[in-house]
Amino acid sequence: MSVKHALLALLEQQPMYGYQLRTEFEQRTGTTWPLNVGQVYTTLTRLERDGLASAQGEDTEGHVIYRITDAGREEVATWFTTPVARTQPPRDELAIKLALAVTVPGVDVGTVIQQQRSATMAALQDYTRLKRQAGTTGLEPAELAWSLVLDSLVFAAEAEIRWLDHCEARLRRAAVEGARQGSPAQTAQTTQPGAPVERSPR
Amino acid sequence: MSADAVLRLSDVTRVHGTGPHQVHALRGISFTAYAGELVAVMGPSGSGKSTLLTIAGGLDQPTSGSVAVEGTDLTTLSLDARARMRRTSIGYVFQGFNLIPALTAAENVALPRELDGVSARQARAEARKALEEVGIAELADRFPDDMSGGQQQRVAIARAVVGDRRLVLADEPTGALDTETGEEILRLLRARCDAGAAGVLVTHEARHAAWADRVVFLRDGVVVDETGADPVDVLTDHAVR
Repeated sequence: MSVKHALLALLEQQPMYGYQLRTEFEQRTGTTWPLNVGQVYTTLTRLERDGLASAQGEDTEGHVIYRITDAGREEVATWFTTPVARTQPPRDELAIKLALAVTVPGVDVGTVIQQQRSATMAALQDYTRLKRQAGTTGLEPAELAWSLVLDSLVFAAEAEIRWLDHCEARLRRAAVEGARQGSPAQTAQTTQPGAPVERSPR
Repeated sequence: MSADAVLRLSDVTRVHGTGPHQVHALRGISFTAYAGELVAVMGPSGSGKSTLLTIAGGLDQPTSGSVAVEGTDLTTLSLDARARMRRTSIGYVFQGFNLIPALTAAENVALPRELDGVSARQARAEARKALEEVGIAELADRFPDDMSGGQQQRVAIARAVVGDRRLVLADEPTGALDTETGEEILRLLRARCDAGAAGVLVTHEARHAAWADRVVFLRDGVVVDETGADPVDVLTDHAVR
């Protein structure tokens, strides 16, 4: 995640000090991606070094106030208009786990899928409960932002469950076809949902 | 305090056809929905989820097992008595809305009450109240064709709950709607359950199932897993009524 750009975008609204930036960030994103104050101050120091923000003295309570520079504004504008890069898919532990589960002998892939689906569904229920509490009407901009972040989590969890359903269906089909063709080697087999995947003898 | 089970399926099987063409749609399913609870049933096509719902709603009979709604076993009732249960205790929401095009929204909602022998005036009043609950009181005199899909589904929900029916069965109720409208429909179902009804929602979409307190996964006519709040926890909130 680009903490740098997120903080710069917040500074574009108004000059702020570190703790304030963290509060504003979390109002929009919940505590989905917690920022520690240390990280905020390190980032501010770097922004200042790169000429994207500058310290503007202290307020009455001694907080150092940061203000965005023209170069910083340009940086934010570029960030908003540039699509997030997808060149390198983030490492996906679940995809890796399943890829190994279908190839390593003796792993019960059906159970791996079902357990993951239950866990992801439980998370999806949690997100939905938060959405219900948030409501849908009369939202302040920061509340709307948080509810959109929640939607993002909801859609991602849904995608994972759909993918797991898809994996299950394909494995079952592969098992049926494998049985019909006399179980060629390398074919993962499940005789029924939840049955251990076995590799045929060579 | 006894458990307030509105729907209880015990060891239900449903076999279609005979001999070599036999299809086991449900294989010994036991399943309970309590008052105040929304339960989602998820599964791929052919997993038996729609069969489960039609049996729960008395639209189909199990091959074996029992189906109790508010303590009455539907399988032991005469056709007439079962039809009466469907009008008084069970509300059904379909993917395709199934409204009668020649009747206004209010008339569609009032129909099950009138069939049940309630006076036309009272049925109309109840229908207006139900439409108000789903947020479309002002559309009472519109015909289904003059309404959006989301509005028609709201009318269908009003029809399913009119007369204080406590079991609401929904079969892919958001299937024909866009994501935001679909969500409003789920909010309504949810609110109805929070107000004391028992709801069963059949869906293949995880995002919709997540509105439920419990999610039951069906595969080949068998419950393979269940997630969400322990039904006992759900009861403690609602049993004290």
